[in-house]
Amino acid sequence: MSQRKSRILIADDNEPNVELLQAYLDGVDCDVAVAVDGRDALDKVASFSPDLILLDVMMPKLSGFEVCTQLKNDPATRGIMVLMVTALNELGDIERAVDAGTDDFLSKPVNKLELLKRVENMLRLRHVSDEVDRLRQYIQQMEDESGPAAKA
Amino acid sequence: MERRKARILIAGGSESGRTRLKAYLDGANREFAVEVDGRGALAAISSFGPDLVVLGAIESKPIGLEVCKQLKHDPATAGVMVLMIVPLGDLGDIERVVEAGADDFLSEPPHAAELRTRVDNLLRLRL
Repeated sequence: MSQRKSRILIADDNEPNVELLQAYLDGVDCDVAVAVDGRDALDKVASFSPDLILLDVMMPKLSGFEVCTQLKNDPATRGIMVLMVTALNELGDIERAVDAGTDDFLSKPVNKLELLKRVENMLRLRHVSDEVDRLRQYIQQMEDESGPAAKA
Repeated sequence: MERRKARILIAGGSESGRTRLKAYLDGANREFAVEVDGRGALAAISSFGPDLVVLGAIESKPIGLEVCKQLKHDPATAGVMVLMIVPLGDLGDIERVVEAGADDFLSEPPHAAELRTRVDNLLRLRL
């Protein structure tokens, strides 16, 4: 069975930043979508079903922190990996990102190798988590099916 | 069934740096080994069997990058996760760390929350 391509959502209102991230991701075998503000990011999560979001902190309508908090509080979306893009010297951003439930960080200015390494790890984690969920469901199903027979 | 403790080897960097790393990462269900240099790190990788090596700068031979390369080139230890914590002043530094096979990296000195997040993620990938 072939695994579907990974999906990455870039959420950033700054067009040059988006273009740079898209260029850096060019060699990664993935589909990419772009959201231009926090509200758009939540809409694109629903329509695009990303595996990973590169989430800028400062965005109109909803900040990256608010978007991340909403995603992580919703059982339907909490498995989506969030890589929050923070300003290098804004140390308070890191604490706020952790509180919001981010899975990792990326500092601005974004370095290509750092981005690619972190994206690789985030996508691996996403697939590992999916696999664990599938195994849990399988075990639960086996237990449910064997339960009455085992008790008899 | 009880899950076994995650094993973390802290090697290289300064003495105060190693103490700080252990304090940042200490917690339930984790055990640590600490080594000063590359030779000690390689010996501990065999004897301690870490899930993760947090590898700081080592200037004496074998240097930190060589420790990482040896670890990643040996099929018996290639699966051990490596987080390098080194000065990442320019692009060349990051290139060298990536070429050595590190699974992730952080600039020295690491921020506690960023360090914990990265270590948690690497342990999730290993365990």
